[in-house]
Amino acid sequence: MTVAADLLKWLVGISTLMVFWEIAGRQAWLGDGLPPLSGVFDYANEPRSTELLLRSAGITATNASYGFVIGSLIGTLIACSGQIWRPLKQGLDTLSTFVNAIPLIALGPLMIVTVGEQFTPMATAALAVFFAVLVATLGGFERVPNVHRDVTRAYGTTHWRALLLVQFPNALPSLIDGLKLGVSTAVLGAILGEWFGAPAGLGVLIVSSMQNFQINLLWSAAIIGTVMSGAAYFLLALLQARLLRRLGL
Amino acid sequence: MISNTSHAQTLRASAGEPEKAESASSTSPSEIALTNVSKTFALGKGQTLDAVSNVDLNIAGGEFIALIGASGCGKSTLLRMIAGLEDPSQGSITIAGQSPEDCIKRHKLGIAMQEHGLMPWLSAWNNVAMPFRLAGLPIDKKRVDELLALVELADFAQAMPKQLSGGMKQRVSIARALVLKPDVLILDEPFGALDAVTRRLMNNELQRIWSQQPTTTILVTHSVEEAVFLADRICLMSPRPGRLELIEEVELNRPRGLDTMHEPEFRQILAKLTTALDDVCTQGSRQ
Ligand SMILES: Nc1ncnc2c1ncn2[C@@H]1O[C@H](COP(=O)(O)OP(=O)(O)OP(=O)(O)O)[C@@H](O)[C@H]1O
Ligand SMILES: [Mg+2]
Repeated sequence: MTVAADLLKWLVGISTLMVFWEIAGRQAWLGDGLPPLSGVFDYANEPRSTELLLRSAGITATNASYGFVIGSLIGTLIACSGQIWRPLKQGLDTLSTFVNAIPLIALGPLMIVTVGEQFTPMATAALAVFFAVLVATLGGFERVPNVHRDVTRAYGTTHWRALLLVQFPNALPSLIDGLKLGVSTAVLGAILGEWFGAPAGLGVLIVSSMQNFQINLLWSAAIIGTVMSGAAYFLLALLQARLLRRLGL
Repeated sequence: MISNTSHAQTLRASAGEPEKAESASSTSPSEIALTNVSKTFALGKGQTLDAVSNVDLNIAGGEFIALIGASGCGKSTLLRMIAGLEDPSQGSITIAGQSPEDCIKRHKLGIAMQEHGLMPWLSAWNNVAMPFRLAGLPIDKKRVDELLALVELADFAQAMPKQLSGGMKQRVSIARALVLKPDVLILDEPFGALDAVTRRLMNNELQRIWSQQPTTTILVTHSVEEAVFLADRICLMSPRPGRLELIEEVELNRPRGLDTMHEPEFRQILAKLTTALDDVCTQGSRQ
């Protein structure tokens, strides 16, 4: 229900933006750099460019998906391990406070030399998701109500059972918030990784079209990237709403 | 210090419930000893707060203790220390001769806090079954059903906490506290959200459950009436830092029923304690 309302708001916003773009393009307010939106669509509709765009988008989506799965799994597992092994928790809490200050773009070149060009997009996507999910999940563990901690302790439970039965369900809404945030950063991370010299993908298309001044191609690729991360975000928001209702939270 | 062992046992013997012998074999009520227990909280910036001060108390196995006193006098803090959730700053607490942690490890403690603390993602039934899961024991389904029936929520077994009223949630939390047949039962104002009638009915239920199953019980309550009705002894705490100001024996016969509250002895003890509580509280505010 609320997700649908959100979607409607988004659609209204986007339509306004599109109309404005079309006018700005036709009037050439920003020169050649911003062609009319209809021109971009016409270009993308040509069979040759459609094929190229879809192929690139597919590669980016694959990179982003792998990155998303790997990053969120590792982020969740590491956040959880701090609940099992207390000394780790201190370190993780410190890490989570400055994780947002780590510039992903500076890590790109490092990825190229460590995992290679082929896997850099996946790795940067995974890293971006990992940070988002780690911070969100750690935050979720902080928000476990004190009375839940007391009840858990009073029945003489192990760290594992406390984690599975009490802490994790309590942290789940936060974790899903992290996933929601992470899924759009995954697309961004993948494109960024491709930028650094992957064989193919939207990022590669953006770099080459920029260098060859193929403005319509550049805008098409950028739009597809945006739509992809937006769609993934809404998919997760939908999932979140369902899950939270299921859990009675 | 007065030991109340013989007194509590006499009372229980006169209750003479037939199921008693059977259930007594599965559990053994633990005696609790508090020796010179104090708690000081560090508030940061070098400031401290004395919440509980020099409490000495011996609680006999199977005895029912009620703890009354003004708000903020340290009742919950004392309970939390007995439950092993907080360490005393000074003094010692033993349950059946061992530390509270030990009692917890053997899953022999039942607890219902001021806040119900139900897991919002679990149904009432699953919340009552939670201690089995936490303790890593197989779930005794019959026992869970039995307890839900006992707190008169059998029809709400599958309801989620947010579908229950405040009082219903408290009843689920009491059922959860009792489900493992604890040796020590710790209840912090468990009936606070109930209306007067339901409260009396629940008091009566608790009284019945307690006389069938020997459990050392410590109940914090704001209702002197509830304290007199349920307890073997009532401890009155002074305003912060909480000290034991007065310990009153309640010599009413068991089993007690709703009509007990109309007996003259009941009224007498109630009046005496209400006066004592008022005195202690006003002294505190005059300082
Ligand atoms: N974790 C804590 N840190 C610091 N101070 C605390 C803490 N817990 C309790 N206190 C303080 O200790 C005092 C006693 O609190 P406690 O909760 O034991 O009171 P209480 O008798 O249970 O009150 P009430 O009847 O209102 O529940 C209060 O002044 C409270 O502010
Ligand atoms: Mg309290």
